[in-house]
Amino acid sequence: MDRVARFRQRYRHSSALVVAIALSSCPSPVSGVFQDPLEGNWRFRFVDRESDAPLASVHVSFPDMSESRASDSLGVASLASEANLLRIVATRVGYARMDTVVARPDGGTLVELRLTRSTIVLTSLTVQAVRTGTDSRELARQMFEREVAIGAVGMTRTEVRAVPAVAETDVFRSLQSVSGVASVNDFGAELFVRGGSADQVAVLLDGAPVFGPYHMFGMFGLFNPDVVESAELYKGSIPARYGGSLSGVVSARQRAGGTTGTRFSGGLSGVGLRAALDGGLPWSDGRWLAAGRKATIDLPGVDAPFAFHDLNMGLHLYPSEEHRLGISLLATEDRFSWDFLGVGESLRSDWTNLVSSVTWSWVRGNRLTSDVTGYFSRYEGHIEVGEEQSGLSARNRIGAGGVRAQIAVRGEATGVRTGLLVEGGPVSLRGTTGPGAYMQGETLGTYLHASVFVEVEHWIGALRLAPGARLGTERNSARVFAEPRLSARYHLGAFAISGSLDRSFQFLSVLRDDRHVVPGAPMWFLRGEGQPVSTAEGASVSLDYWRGSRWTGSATAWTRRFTDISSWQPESVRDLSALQYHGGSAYGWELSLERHAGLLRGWISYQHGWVELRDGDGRKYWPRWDRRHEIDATLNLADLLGFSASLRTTVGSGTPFWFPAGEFYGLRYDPRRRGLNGGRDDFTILSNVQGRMPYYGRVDFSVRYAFRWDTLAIAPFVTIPNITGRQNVLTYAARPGGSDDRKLTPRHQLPLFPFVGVDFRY
Amino acid sequence: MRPRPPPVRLVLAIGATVIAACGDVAHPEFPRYLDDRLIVFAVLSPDSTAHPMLVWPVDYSDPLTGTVARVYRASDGVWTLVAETTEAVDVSRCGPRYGGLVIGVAQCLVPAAVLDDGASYRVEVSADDRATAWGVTAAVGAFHVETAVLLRNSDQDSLSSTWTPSLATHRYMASLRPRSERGVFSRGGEGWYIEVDDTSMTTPVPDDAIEAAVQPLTLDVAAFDEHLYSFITSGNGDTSFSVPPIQNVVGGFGIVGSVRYRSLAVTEK
Repeated sequence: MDRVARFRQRYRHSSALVVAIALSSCPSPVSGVFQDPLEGNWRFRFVDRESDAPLASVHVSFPDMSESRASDSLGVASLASEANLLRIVATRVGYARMDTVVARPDGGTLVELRLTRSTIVLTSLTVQAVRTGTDSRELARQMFEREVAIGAVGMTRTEVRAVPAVAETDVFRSLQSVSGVASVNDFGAELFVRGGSADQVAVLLDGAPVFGPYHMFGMFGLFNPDVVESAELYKGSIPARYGGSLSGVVSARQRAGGTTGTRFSGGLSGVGLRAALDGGLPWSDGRWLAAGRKATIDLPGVDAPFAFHDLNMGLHLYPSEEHRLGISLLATEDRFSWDFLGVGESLRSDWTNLVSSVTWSWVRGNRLTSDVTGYFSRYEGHIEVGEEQSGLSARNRIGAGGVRAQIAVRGEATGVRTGLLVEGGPVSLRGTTGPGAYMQGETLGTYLHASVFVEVEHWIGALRLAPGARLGTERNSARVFAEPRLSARYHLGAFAISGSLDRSFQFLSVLRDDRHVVPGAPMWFLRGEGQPVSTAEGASVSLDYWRGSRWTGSATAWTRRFTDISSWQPESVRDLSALQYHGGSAYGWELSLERHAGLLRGWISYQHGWVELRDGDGRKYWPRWDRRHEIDATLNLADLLGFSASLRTTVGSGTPFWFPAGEFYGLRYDPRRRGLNGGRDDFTILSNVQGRMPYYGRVDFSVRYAFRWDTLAIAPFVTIPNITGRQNVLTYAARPGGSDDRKLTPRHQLPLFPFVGVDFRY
Repeated sequence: MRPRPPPVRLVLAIGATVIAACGDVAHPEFPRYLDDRLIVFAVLSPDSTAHPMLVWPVDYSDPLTGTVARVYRASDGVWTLVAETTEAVDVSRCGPRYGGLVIGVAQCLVPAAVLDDGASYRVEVSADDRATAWGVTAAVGAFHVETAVLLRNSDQDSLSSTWTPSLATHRYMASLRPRSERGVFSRGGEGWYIEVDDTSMTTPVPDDAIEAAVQPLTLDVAAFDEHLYSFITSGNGDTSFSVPPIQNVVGGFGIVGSVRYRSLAVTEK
């Protein structure tokens, strides 16, 4: 209590801090509070200027003292000296040399020095290979140090590339390979986290929400792998600064461009062509990036059933050492059109995203950082299924604009991050043109969500208390909500034990038939007044292990309770009256181990999960993402004479399905008969009895060879998904009949199918 | 000193790879009994006093017994029983109304009742050990086709027609009666027809529709209630991504609807 009293005295003018302390007594995601028992009265911390990631192995020399040091895994180097001014020369592979003089700061806190990346030291591919071993651990360590968020993982571009691709490297498919994330089948890159559905995972790009985060019905993530610097995934235990999703958050950051000249990179793969240009601004301290991707399977004389393209643009300006302005833009479009030959029916779907944000960051010394992000995200989706050219469609539109502002104050033992979010815009879902559409009816509303959050962090010896909370209101549903996010971590040598309690609300959900799955654009809808709002409450504990600079591991257990999860399982009427709100619970535990550096690196994990929901009639069921056991192993053999290879193995128990009970048939008006006739349409009726698919197993393999041709770095690759050719079951079709002749006919998932491609960089 | 990687990691990776490579797939057993719901097709036509209904169980591992079909009429907010039958007749009796929909496991029940134009009816079907299924429809009213004229034109022939309004009708479908079932092919093979909201139409007619039409030319007009119209114009089945049609049977599947047909010889000009 004495420490709390001192803290209150110190920050007595800050009402936000008082509120924060009153809520609990502790702090949260504030970086820079390290407990390493370093000797010496000068301490330096070296970080990447773009990402703030700590930089290990920085060679630091002090010419006036004939001393030199190397920074440790936290980017920290120390020196015992009574001098008040020091000349420092810092060098590190991949970064520009720094030669500067620093003055001793008041209070003796560490001095943070930001190194600027430089591409002129080594060839780009070599630089990439060197950074491979360190980035993943640095990002993981940075996230670990920044906050107590159980199960949070970071994925750098290098790790994304380390996972064998289905046609093309993909951020989301790479995230599927980490512990605590389940996938439903080979054709989906969607993330199912902590027992929740895919729409319970919010996707953000530079702070702006992305409502249609997948290409090709979920087969590929929306993010161009050449563009994303890193992606962070929060699983269940979500920091208070994020709101609006129950089960997880994917926060991706677009990379800044280079510092000098213009670079060109891209690739050609089974998906299509992609290209990226980036460089530095010649007239000011700034960087720019422009990238595009176009995918189609156009063949001469054959109409492509699908096409998608996306465009990324980014600009980072550094008007001074303390200020940074980032502008980010993503525009995407997907089109799918397929006529089922001979039956006169079709499936058409298209969707577009326009995601833009402007972020201003202000960093004042080591103690205060703040940023303000203004964003706008527009999404339009369309599904048309049924009779060919019928024009019967369902349309979804969201136009969400928002402002997020936050400020973080850090001290020796206490830190606070607090901020606010205001987000709103129209949300419409219309089955407009009559019966036969994917859905009937309409729901309209204007989303307006305002909230404040506070994340507090307080160290008591080796104990790090990190309570947080989010308070807000959503106008359309007329709800006021409070989301406590309480976390704590205890450090014990190479181990850390963490625990958290949390509650989350979700106001926007996707209307998707979970049983008769029709692929297509996600259809979001907004809760109206009086409609239930989805809620999840959870608890988790984890034991994290950090061994040297190579190994990290964790063991995590979690449990969650869901209330009023929206579920649409229409059988007779495809309108919103078939919308139900289900409840249930989930629990699980997982183990993971990762090797970050060395010739052979990668990660392996085991997870056990259990999800059970109850429908509106009180019947219990397993959602289709309830995979009980899963082992994931991703191994990457790093650069060996230009070759690198990677292997991903996934073995899991089968996911649930509903047994087909029978069929009924359609009727059509038939002029030939002057009346009705049995149509060709037959419709499967699913029972309420569930079974499970056979166990799932898949091995993907990829090999890449990198070489240079003049100034062009070229890396052709071959990827073979499902290299063993195992016939994993996607779904069952059933012919109804008597007890003697009824049988299940499996439809299989991805076959053995090699993809070739090439990446290049100039 | 470099830490040695734990051997357990390698063992797990190899083990997982071996398991993933295995080709043995044990499919789940099909449970013997799954569902107690009924599928009901009850298309009422006030032109007739007999109303064939097709009924079959979703799960027919056990035969359907004790089937009862009842028809209620709404009067002053109360459902009054107007017809009931427990007799399953030869399933071919349902053929004229449901065409190729008649399947072997279905039962055909034919309750008898005089239906009033525009009145609401509730059809309810129950059977032993099955859930009761029911649906409501309005009986479409009588109407007659007043005119039907085919204007011959070198560019495009056009068909004009008017008819009297029908109570409780949601939409009409008009067609030139084809010569045979192997006529023109469009919309999956049923032949040419057009949907009409109002009680008159003027529409171009494809040449092949006229060539395939029976002589002398005859215009057929069908009047559908809202539920039946929705059912026959919706749904996308027998494909990879089926979307069931709009139905109105509560506690089961299928349709309870109403239809009436009228015809008139076409005058050619």
